[in-house]
Amino acid sequence: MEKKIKAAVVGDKSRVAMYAAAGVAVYHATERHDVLKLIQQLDSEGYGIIFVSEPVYAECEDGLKKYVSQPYPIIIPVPDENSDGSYARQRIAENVKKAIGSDII
Amino acid sequence: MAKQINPTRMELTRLKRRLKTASRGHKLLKDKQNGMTKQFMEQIRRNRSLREQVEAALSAASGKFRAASSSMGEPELYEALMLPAGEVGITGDVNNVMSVQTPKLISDGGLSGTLPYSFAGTSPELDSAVLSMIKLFPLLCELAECEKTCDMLAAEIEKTRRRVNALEHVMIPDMQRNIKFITMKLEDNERQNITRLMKVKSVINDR
Repeated sequence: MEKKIKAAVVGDKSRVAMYAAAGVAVYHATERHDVLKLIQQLDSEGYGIIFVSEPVYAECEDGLKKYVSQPYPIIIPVPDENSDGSYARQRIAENVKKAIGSDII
Repeated sequence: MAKQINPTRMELTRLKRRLKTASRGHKLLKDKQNGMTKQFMEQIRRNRSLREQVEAALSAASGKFRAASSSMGEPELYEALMLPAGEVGITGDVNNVMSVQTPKLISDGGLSGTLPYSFAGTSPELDSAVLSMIKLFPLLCELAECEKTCDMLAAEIEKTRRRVNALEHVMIPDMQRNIKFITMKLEDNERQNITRLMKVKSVINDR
């Protein structure tokens, strides 16, 4: 079931504007409620990849858990201009802990 | 548990059948868990290295954007970026990893590299920043696919481990205990019966 999918980035517009250069649609939302609503809307519009800036992702992580069990949309945190990527590294460590039982990598 | 069951032959047969199914299920789930863990370890290593690459490339691109912004002004920069750069061509498919449906992305290499804005009002730093973002896009897609696969596998491994543990430490020992209880009870009944028959026989013989 191959299908064409679109990509979007959600976050503080001034910090994620650079993604527009790669052809990714840029959406501005920073409040938890707005972000979750926007992501639901993007999902229904056929966006298969949704990049969320790290600080925004950290704020609404529990609201995004329902998307984990399905292959699409892919929602992942990406660093914006101000974040250092530590949140994403912490997520990787958490995944290892969840799967193996301890962070051995 | 052992007190609530009926010590009958029918119950014993049913329990033995269930134990057989549970043992087979346990073996299959254990194999699934091992297979998924192997896949997960490969993916998580890839995820980590992709993350590092993307972070390094993004911070370089972001530096270029900052340089462009300082040389041409922020409003002009956003104006240039908001011009439609074209649609990126990504095809999404589904991969089957140990019966977990994971995403599979096929990127056609991102945008062609033609810049959508006028060169009159923009700085050369912006061109190089935009080109580096275009080059980065396939890597971002790869990271998205890999990270989602890791998320899904981690969740599925956790679920499978719970099932394996429940079967191994609760259900199977419970059934074995119940089977033992019923077998002993039936043997006891048999002995009682024999004793009773012997007693009846001796009473008849005594007459």
